Amino acid sequence: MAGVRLRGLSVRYSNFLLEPMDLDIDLGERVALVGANGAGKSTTLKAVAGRLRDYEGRVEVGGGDIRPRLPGIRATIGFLPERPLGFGWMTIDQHLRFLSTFFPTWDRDYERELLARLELPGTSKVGTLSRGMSVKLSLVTAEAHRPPILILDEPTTAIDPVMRRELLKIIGDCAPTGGDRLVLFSSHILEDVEFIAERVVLMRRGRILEDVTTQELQERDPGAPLSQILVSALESDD
Amino acid sequence: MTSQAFWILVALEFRRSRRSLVRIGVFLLAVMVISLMVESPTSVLTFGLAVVGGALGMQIPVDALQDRLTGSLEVLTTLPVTPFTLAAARLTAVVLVAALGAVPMAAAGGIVGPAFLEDTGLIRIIMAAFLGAWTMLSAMSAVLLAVLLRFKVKPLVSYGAMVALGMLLGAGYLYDRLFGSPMRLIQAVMASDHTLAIAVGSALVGSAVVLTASFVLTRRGFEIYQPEPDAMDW
Repeated sequence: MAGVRLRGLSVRYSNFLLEPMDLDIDLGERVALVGANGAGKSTTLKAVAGRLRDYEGRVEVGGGDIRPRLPGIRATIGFLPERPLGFGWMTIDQHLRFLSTFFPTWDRDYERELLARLELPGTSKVGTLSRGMSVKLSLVTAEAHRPPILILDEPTTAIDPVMRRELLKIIGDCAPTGGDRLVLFSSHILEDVEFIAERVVLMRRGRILEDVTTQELQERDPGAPLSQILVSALESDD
Repeated sequence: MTSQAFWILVALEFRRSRRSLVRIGVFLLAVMVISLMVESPTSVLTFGLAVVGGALGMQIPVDALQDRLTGSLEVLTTLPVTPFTLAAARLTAVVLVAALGAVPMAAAGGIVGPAFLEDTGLIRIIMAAFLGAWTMLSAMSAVLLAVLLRFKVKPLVSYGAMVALGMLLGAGYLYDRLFGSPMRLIQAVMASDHTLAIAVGSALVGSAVVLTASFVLTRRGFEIYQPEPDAMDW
């Protein structure tokens, strides 16, 4: 299965324009979208995840345009949205059992392993979860069916530092470099980008500024932390 | 997979509404107890049964509105299932719950009906009340479901409910002025098999048209649903 290809992807809202964008991501890659609020990261991720209805251009996942393959193609894409989703009246276990029936590759043992690693109690009501717990649940729902394409929008938002490290490890384990899966994620926390990504797409005001490997970024200032180099790159003029 | 998904989605509608259904059941018990304690038990019980039936039959669209208000509708619209399956499952639940709501209404019809329809057998009255209530509740519930899903909720809640209620009351008032009590119409319809057959046929065709239109609207509602883009959620 091929990875993700964007060709001329463009989205227009009343107060925002994602300019036509080309991007190729192969299986086995871990790519971060980095940029300030309003850069277009979430819109790009939603388009790749098949969650956006109105856009121009072409989004290819697994070697073909996703439009004619919706909604079935969603079974091969795991998506952690910026705003976690769930039925508030269900418990975590009920919610996962409900979702599992729609994904043929859902792995119940793996689901339980993820719940344990993220310290999520299956009996808690989804509607009572804190923001951080909701994000963790969204990661389980995105990952438990082991999709080839894993899309994560701000996966470490509102997560405490200890759990954040565990969550980053899980993401790293999901898609080992050179494997048959890919991770595309966005984050404001540059240390997370440094921890997970080996390639960074810098975005500003709806367009791509740069698409570079973390190694290439590091070579710009070998002694400096990557997060500092990223800030410099984002602050630099076009 | 599609068939399994369909039944799981139907079950979801029942699970979401189960608490409301239990509450309505408790209300029904209260009505029955009160009717045993008052001087005119028939009128209290009949009124209570009609209210319970109506509330029960319309419960699915009322509870489904929660999905839109809390944003959890997106869970459904982002599943790997078609809007057709989502709409079909929800409307199936609507029709099944409307049948539940028609039971107390049929009981109410069985209590008051014989006084107006002296020449008609009790079973026939109850069956007619059940089918009439089921058809009416299914159609009304399906329309409510479709409208609440397809159109923006805020203006609907602000003005739509008032307009709908006003039109319903206005239509009731006009009907009463022009034709008198609805019981006269029912008596006329039940007077012969011929008029009854015409009435049943018309009701079935009418409700089929309403249900089809509601299905189309609901499917479209699922298809185009997008949460309002948050100002900072780009």
